[in-house]
Parts: sequence; C-alpha cells; structure tokens
Amino acid sequence: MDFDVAPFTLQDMATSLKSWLYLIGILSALGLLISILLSVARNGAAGIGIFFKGLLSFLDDVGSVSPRRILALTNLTLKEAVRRKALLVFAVFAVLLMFAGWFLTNSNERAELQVGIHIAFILQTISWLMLPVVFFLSCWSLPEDIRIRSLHTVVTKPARRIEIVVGRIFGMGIVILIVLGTMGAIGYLWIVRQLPTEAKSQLTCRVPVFGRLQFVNPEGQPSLKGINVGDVWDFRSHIQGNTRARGVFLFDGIDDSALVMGTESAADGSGTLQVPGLKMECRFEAFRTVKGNESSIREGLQAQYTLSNNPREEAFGLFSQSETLRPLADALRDAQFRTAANRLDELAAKVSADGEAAKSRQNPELQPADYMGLQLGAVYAADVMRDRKDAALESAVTVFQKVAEEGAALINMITSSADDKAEKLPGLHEAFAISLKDLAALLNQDADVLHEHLPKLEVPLPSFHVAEYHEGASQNVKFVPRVVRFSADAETQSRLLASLFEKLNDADQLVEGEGLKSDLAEQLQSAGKISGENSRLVVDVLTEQLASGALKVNGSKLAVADGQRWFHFFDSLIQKDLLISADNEGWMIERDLITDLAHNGRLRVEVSCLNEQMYLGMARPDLFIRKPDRDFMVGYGKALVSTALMMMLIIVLGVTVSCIVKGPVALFFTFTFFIVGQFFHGFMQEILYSPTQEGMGAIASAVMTAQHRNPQVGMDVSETTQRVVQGIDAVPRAILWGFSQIVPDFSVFNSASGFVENGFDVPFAETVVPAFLICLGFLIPCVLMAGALLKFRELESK
Amino acid sequence: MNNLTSRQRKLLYAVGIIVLLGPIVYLGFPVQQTPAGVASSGLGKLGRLRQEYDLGEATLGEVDPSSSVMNLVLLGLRGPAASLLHLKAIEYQEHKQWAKLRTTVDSIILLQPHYVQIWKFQGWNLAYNVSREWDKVDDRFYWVKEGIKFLQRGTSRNDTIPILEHNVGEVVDKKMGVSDEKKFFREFFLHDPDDKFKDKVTGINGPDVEINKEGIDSYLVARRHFEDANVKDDNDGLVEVKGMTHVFFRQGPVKALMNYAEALTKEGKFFGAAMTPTSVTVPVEPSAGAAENAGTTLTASIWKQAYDEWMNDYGKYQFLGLDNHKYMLNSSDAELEAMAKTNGIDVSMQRRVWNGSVDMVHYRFWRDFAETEADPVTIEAHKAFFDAKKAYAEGRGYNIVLPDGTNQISEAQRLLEISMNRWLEASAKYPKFFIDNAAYLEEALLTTRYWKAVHQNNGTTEATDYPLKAVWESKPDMHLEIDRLFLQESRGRKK
Repeated sequence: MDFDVAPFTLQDMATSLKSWLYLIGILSALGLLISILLSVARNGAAGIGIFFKGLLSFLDDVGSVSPRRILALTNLTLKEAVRRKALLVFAVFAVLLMFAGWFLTNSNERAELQVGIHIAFILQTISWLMLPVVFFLSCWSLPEDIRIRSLHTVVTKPARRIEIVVGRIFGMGIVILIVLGTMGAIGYLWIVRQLPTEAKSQLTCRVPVFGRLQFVNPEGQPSLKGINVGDVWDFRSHIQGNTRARGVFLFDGIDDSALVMGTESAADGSGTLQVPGLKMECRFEAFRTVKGNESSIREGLQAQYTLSNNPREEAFGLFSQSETLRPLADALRDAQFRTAANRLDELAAKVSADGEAAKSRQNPELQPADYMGLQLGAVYAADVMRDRKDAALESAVTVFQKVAEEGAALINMITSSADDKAEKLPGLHEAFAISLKDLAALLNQDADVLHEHLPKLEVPLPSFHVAEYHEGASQNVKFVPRVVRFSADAETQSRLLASLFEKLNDADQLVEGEGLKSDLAEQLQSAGKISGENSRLVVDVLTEQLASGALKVNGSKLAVADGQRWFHFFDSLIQKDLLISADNEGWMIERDLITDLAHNGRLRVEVSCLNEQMYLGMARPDLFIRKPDRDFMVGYGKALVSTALMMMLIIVLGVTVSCIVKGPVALFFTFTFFIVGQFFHGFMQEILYSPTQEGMGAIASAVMTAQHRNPQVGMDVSETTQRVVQGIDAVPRAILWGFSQIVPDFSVFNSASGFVENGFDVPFAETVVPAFLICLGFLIPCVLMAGALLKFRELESK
Repeated sequence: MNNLTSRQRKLLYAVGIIVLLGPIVYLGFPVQQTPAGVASSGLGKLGRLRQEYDLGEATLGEVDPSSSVMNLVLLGLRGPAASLLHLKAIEYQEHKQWAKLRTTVDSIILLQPHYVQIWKFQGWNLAYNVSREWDKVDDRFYWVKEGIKFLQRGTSRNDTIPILEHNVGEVVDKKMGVSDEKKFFREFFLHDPDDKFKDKVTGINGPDVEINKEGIDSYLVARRHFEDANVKDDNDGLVEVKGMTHVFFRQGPVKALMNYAEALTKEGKFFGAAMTPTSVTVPVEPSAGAAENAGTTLTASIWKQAYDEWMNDYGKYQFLGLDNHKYMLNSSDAELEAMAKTNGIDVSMQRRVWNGSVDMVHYRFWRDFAETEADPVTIEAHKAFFDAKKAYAEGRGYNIVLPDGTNQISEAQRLLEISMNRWLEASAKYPKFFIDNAAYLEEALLTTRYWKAVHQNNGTTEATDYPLKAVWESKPDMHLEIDRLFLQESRGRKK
C-alpha cells in the first residue's frame, strides 16, 4: 500500500464542488422533467398546474423544517432500532472476539508481524458486522412501517415528510455511532490486551513526511528510474552498490516543526544527550547478485544517507538529459565554469553551423533533443538561481533567461510547419548561438563569483545496515541531530576557512604587528570549532604564506597579495595539498540541518548502497521523515470515523430508496450500489480512462474475438463499420460514465484502515475529509429526493 | 392440487421426517467401543465404516476445531472461499506482505486441512521462496523454520500421509545442509539466533524446540522424519507413495545418515559423541589419544551403519518396478531368480526391472561411497587434509630451521604428505576410486595443490616422485579449476 496519498487541496475541493453542482443540476432537471411528464400523462393539461402546486408545497415543506420535530423523530427511530434488536450485533462481535485468538494468536511468532493483523481484524470485523445491520435497518425500516401502518401515526401528526426522512437518517446514524463507538472501544482494549508485550511499542501512529524520488545512475547522471532487478512487482527501483548510483529523495517543508527529540552521544563521550533532530525511517529492499561477506549476510546490506544542499545540481542537472550536453552539465555541476564556457562556445559554433545547414536543408549537427535540453536547462538554471535571491547571481539569471527565450523561439520554429520556416531558421539559430556565446562570456568572467555563490554542501551520515521488511525496526530508523558534525570535503573546508577568516579579519583579530596573532589557533578552535591539530596546521601554513609573500598585512588587516578572495585562496591551498587534515578524524565541522541544509525548506537526501554487486530497492514512500508520533488511539479513531461515514452513506442511500420501493427491493438496490462502489469503482474508472482500454467497447471486442485479432491491431473492418461499431459502443460507455459519477467510491472509506494497520497516522485532510464530503454530497440531494418521494407516494399502497 | 387440508399436509411432513430420521439415527449412532477396539457389528454403522476406511477427521490426524467451524459456517462455499484466499496469498506474496501471506495461508489450511498439495506447496513456498526474499540470514532462517513448522502441522493434521512427513525431512535436510546459507543454518539449527531461545542461566541460545526438540544435528532430525515417513508408508496399506517414486522415498533415513557423516567429515568433526542417543547408535570416541585409530572414529561408525542400512534395510526392501514386478535393490543372482519366479517372469526380465532401478538411484555408487568412506584409510586422508588446511591457514605452512641448522618441514606439509599417501593407498585398494567418484579426485588434486603451494611459499623444491604425481599429471585439464578452488579456500580461510 502506498501511504503517500496525494494532498486534497482547496482547489480539489472547488473542482469537486463544481462537478457536484453540475451533476445535481442535470439530475434535478431530469427529475423535474420526468415528474412533469408523469403528471401530464396522468392528469392531462391540468397536470402541469398540479406539478407546480406540488413543487411549491414541497419547497414549503423544505423551508419549514423544524429541528424540534426532527429530534422527536430521531428519538423515535432510535427506540425502534433498539426494539428491532439492532444491538444484538454486539453479541456476534463478542463471540468473534472470544474466538479470534484461535485464528490470530501465534499465527506469526514474530511480534512485529502481529500488530497489523490484529488491527486489521478488529477494523474489518467492526465494518463487516455493522454492514448487515445498517442494510437491514435503513432499507427495511420505512417500508415495514408503511406495511404495518405504524407510519400513519406519524404522518397524521404535524410532521413534514422530509422531517421523517431526516429523523430516520439521524436516528439510524446515532444507533450506528453508539454501536461503532462501543465496538471500537472494546476492539481497542482487545488489541492492547491481545498483543504480545514486545509488540505493544509498535502500537503507534507514525506521522510521515514523504518526499519526491529521483535517481542518479551508476554513471552519475540524473535518471527517473533505477534498475529493474526482475521483480514481478515494479513498485521499487534499484540502485547498484558501490557505484555512483543514488536514490535522491527531495523533502519539502522541512522546518522546525519536523524536528523531534532524540538521543545523541555527548561529544566528550560522557553519556547521551537529548537533542532536537530529524527522524528518518526507511523500508528499503535488498537484492543480491552474490552472497556477500559474513557481515552483510548477518546484518544486511549497508546503506548510507548523504544530506545535501547542492544548488549547482539543482540548477544545472537538467542539462545532462541530453547526451551531447553532458560535458557541459558535468562542468557546471563541478563548478568548472570556465570549462563550461568552452563547451558552450563549441555548442554555439554547432548551432551556427546548424543555421547554415538549415539554409541548404542539410542535416543539423545538434538534434531537437539537444536544443530542448539547452532551452529547458537554461529555464531551470535561471529559476533556481533567481530563487536564491542573491544579487551576485542576477547577471547570470538574465543571461540564462535570454538563452531560454532564444531557445524557445528556435524550438517553436523547428517544430512548426510554417511555410517560411527555412527562411527564418538561420536567423533564429544565429540569435540562439549569440545568446550561448554571451552565456559563455559571462561564465568566463563570473566563474569565481558563481563558484562562491552556488555552494555545495554534502553531509555524509554514518552508514547503517538495512533491515529488510522490518517495518519500523530501530535499525531502519535513524536520528539525525539538528547540528550535524561531519568530515568536510575540500569545498566545504575552503568555505569554512574563508568565512572564518573574513569574520576575524573584519574584527581585526588576525594580525598582530607584521605577523599573525599569537592566539590565532585558539581563536580558530573556539570560533570555528576546528580541532586543535587543524587550527595549528592552518596557522603554520598561513605563517609560511605570509613569509612567502602570498599574504600581506595591510594595517590591521590580512589580505591575499594578488587580491584573490579568501575562498579561492584557501581553495588553492587545499588543491596544493597544504591543508591535509592533521586530525585523524578529518576536517570535522558542524552545520545546522534546517538553516544550512534545508534551503527554503527543501532537504535533499541521497541514498547509496555500499556493498559491491548488491542492489538497494526503493520507491517514493520508502524513506520518510517522521514527525512526532501520535497516539495509536488518534489513527484508530480516524479509521472508525471513516467507517462511521461509510455506514452513514449506506443509511442515506437505503432510506432514500426505501421511500419508494419495498424492503427487499431497497435492500437489493443498496447492496448492489455498495458492491459496485466497493469493488468495481476502480474497474469502471479503468474502463473509462485507462489508455489500454480505449476503443475497447463490447461490440468491438466481440468483433475482434471473432476475427482472432488483438486490441493492438484493432478490427479488420471498413472505416464506416468501424465508426458504426464505435458509435454503438459509445452508448454503454456513456451509461457507464453516468453510473461511475453516481456510484460513490466506497474504497475511500476503507483507506483509513490501511494506514492504521501499517502503523501510520491517518492523514485527516486526504482521507477523512473526502469521505465526509462524499457523505455530505449524497446526504443533501438524497434527503430532498427522499422527502419528495415520500410526500407524493400513496402510503396505502403497501 | 390435492384435497389435503393444511393440518393433514403438516402431519404427512412429520411422518416423512420421522421415517427418514429412523435410518439416519440408526446408521449415524456413535461407534461402540470395545476393549479390543471398534465393535464389528451393532449400532453406528457409518462410524464404523468411517473408521475402517480412515475417513473420519480424527483418523486422518489431529482435529482442529476452528477448521471444522470454518467449514461448517461456509456451508458449501469453502471451495470458492479457498480459491479466493489462494489468489490473495499470491497477491500478498508478489507485494511482499509476508505477515498477511502467512495468515492467509493459515486460513486456507483451515478450509482445506486435508488437501495435501496445499501443505506441500505452501510449506515449500515459505521455506524456499519466502525465505530467499529476506536479506538477513536470521530472517531467512526464520522463514525456513516457518515452512518446516507449517509442514509439521500438515503432518499432524494428516497423520496417515507419508509424503508430508517425508517432506518435512527433506526441507530440514536440504535447507539446513545444502542451501547457500548452510554454514549459518546448521549453526542456527542448534543455536537459534532468536533471543527468546536464550537460556537464562548459561546465556547461550538453544534450538527452536518446535523443530529440534532434542537439540541435535539437522541431518539427524531429518532422518527421524524420514524414518517416521517410512513407518507411515508401512502402515498405509499401499505399496506406493503418492507424490514420489517409492524407491527414492524409502532411502530417506539412510541418505540423511550419509549426509550427516559427510557433513561431519567436511567440518572436520571426525571424533566425539554422536549428537543423538536414540536415532543413531554409534560408538563414542573416548579420547583424542585413542583417536589415532581412525577405524573407530565417529564418522567411521556412522558410515558403517549407513553402509549396513543401505545394504540390508534399504537394499532388501521389496519395491514394485516395471509392470508392477517386485524387486530388491540388493539382490544376488539366486535372489533374482527367486524373485523372477514370484513375479512369474523370466530372469532376464527380472534383471532388467532390477537393473533399471539400481541405476536410477545410483545404488552401487552410494554403496561404494559408504564403504570407502568407512575405511580408515579414507578417513585418515580426509582428516590429514583437513588438519593441513587448518595449519596452512594458521601460518603453520612454513619450514622451521632448528637450532642445529637442520630444516624441519612445516606441519602443513607433513599433514599434506600423510593425506597424499592415504589417497594413494585408497586408490590402490579401490581400483575405481578416482574414476567412480569425482569428489575424491578433486580432493586429492586439491591436496596436491596445497602441497605445491607450501613448497612455493618455502622456496623448496618438490620431490620428483611425490605420492600423487601420476594423478596430478594425468589431469592437466583440471588444474585451472583446482587453482580456483585453492584460491577460494585459502583466501576465505585467511579472512
């Protein structure tokens, strides 16, 4: 089950409301038209007057509905339900609970496998036990009252028919709520009592934040899918171990609200501390092509998370979609902007050549996909850089934007069928080539600025062994403290030292006389949290640089002699291997998870598999950030509310139908409605909207069957016959469409149970709210319809 | 219609009911039990017939009340219900919902407790297919156990079906002893990784008593199941076994014993007590000093017993062969003639029937294998090679210069040379030693390869007439494979 449901937004609600009003309008118009026709058929021309008189009378009824009378009728329904022994369902429930242990207990010795089964049993039992009660109560109640004329005692009182309907629905609803509430409470106690002690800790509601998943292939290029290892179920895609392949999860909305308290070892090793951080849970799948070493056999495959804030990857990753543009993409992502400029110049030359080729109608050097890659890449690069709201990037944004615009104009012309295409293309090619050259010039000129203002920060977390299929096991739950301490790579090390030196320089803390301050090492240690060994190393190296003239003292400030910025100065020292860590742990630095890594609330988590010849399988819901857990009761309660709403909907349907037909017919009708909505709604949707089912009507299928042909090749008939067959098939298809719009999707009501069974909280807005709206969407028209049907029917006609 | 009044009709129905009830009550009376068993006459005819033909729930095996309740509640719909559950089980398996798969399988079994194929299939499915889907070896072991337990439940619910009991033995035998994870599984079979089997006093994990009550070796547990299966086969009144060729079915216990002895040999456990006091009666080696007499080792005793069972128990069992002619695998010419007379066929036909089966089960191969493996010479060859490999891995493969300046050959070389001499001795004693059994040839060549490696490491020159020279030089095509094995083993051991 996919626990990552699509959000149900206000926009979705508005769209649903529009469809609902549209449908209600059509049905009301149809209903009124049929009523007029029937009235005219029965009463002749006077029928029209009678119809309108009746309509006004009904509207008057609707307008004068009394809550007091409805309450009285609700009370009456409640008493009747009790008298009809609806509560006997408790006895059956009790018997099932008494013997459920025979079927459930010990069926799985492993505690973690038992939780879901016990919850599923209770929720399903409640649901399936209540269904017959609800069907019989709602469908049989009114017809039976009419049959034995007990309804006459009500209708002769000053009660409107519509009030009777509402009273029935509410009364039965209350009965159902009582039964459901009691069963739910008993069920809860039963689950808690029946579960083994070791499994009780799993009785919780996890609140997940899901991300989006994309992949990086073994060559390090972005990809939408991973490797298929031949699994029948293609839910998961796999990444190859010990290669550059990664599963990349992008989480949005990561801020302080996502933090939970967790345990972290104290830095001095004195024990543990409670600190805020992110809790990440995975449920990856392992696939082996070899047995592996003993450690992996015993403990499972090794995986590693790398938290990353990499604007260069985000901005320039899209260029790599085209094979021709990969060298450009690689250079941009590696901050080799001058190399990228060279690649762009080459591309500009090819674009110009293509312009010339277009004149003479020769084959172009670049393919349409390359042009699209360039254009889309430029759009994306401009967007990402613009989002950073950094003044230093503005000129780059403008030039990338220009490339995007010129590219769009060129692509539009390439894909168009305009008559003057051949004349216009060379000019557009030239304009595009110029924009690329401008971009190349900018990259050359601003290479250092771009490098400094598009920082890549990667935080590799400690590796861990994946416990496959152990949902929620501690091995799969990783706590990442808000302040992460990690061994920095060269780029991060340069940035750390540069920012530290800029800060100290501004505060005149670097220079003492003509040399470096004597306590600089201590300052670096305290201000930058750099280890003692590395602080001393930096001071030693800088002293040498000062002596060699690479650095100079300007009054109270220290400056790079050739005017380089600190970032590039330290970068060059690192490139010369002068700042190799003197500390065995490496250049350990600290970064804040929310402010440094989750830029604009987006956190990028890269997952890698460390074992060679092994594969790690993952799907979008397989890694999620766990917000603080909720009590099991919360999710369980929401699941019960969903069940109650389903029962309510059945009551509404049952009571409505029973206003016009007899009990058995009403029962059969409502039951059919339920079965279709519960089990075949998805099937109807598939027939109507699945591309594989297109043109697959009943007659067309029959013809193809007779001709031994499959849907791919279609019918072997003339075009006219084909049109006739499709026309005939359109009729049942239209009926099916109408039916699919009217029959509610009952599976919506059951989806909440799936969440609770699997230890997740039920997303209220995505499951309970739609369920409530469906219920309400049926309640209003059904009450009006039932009120009208009851008002105009002859009660003596049993 | 008729002229009967309502009352008359009702009376007529009542009379009809009483008339029909009489025979039902008479026939369906409970069976009369006598001290000697079931009474052969009297009331309860249906019950008596049920018992006579083993058709009652109780006579088929253990009765599960929940199963009976399910079948009763579903009236005639248990077939469709079971089919739906089968589809669900497949779906759960494809979607890797193992807990749901397990409970669905349990539900299927409640509906169809005597459908042997379901027990067989789902037991195998859990032990083989589901277990391999899990990554960690202790998870895999858990699901293998689930499969075994499931089959065990099947045997208790279907007490008279020999093949299910045999299947339990087969899964225990193969999964614990042959699978990729055998190194771990054999250990886990004795010391389950699940902490709930941890002894509170010693802190050592014991076996899962549901599959290994006595805490004995997996092959011996398998052997016990095979023995029980053979007993059920003896008792079921049929000459054949449904679901398996009878001649293969009956060899279960002795093959498990051979597998046990072979595993002990590979693990270097030549001495010590047998793991069970009941199933295998073997002399216990009293001390390591006396162990030099290889003829009295544990493995020798087991091989001897296996040989004896292969020849006398399995070999002398009467099977039905081609055209239902009886035969015994271990038959002398006189016995073949006698059997031909019994079958009413000529001796050549009898010989054909007999020979077909002998070839099919590789009867002679296993006979010779048990015989040679029980031989002290072969055991000493194995043991010396095992110890030599250990010495090599532990760095005892280098020659030592004694204080007097003489060179003492390494322990590994000494042991390898003992082994090579024993291989040579065995091949002289059994002329087809290296021809009939490729495993011997491989082991002998590997011994030589180790011996050459020791020389290479010490920088010494190989003797020109080393014991297995002729064998080594006669098989140049196998050198590459032997090199691969050597590298694999020596590197693996060093790790």
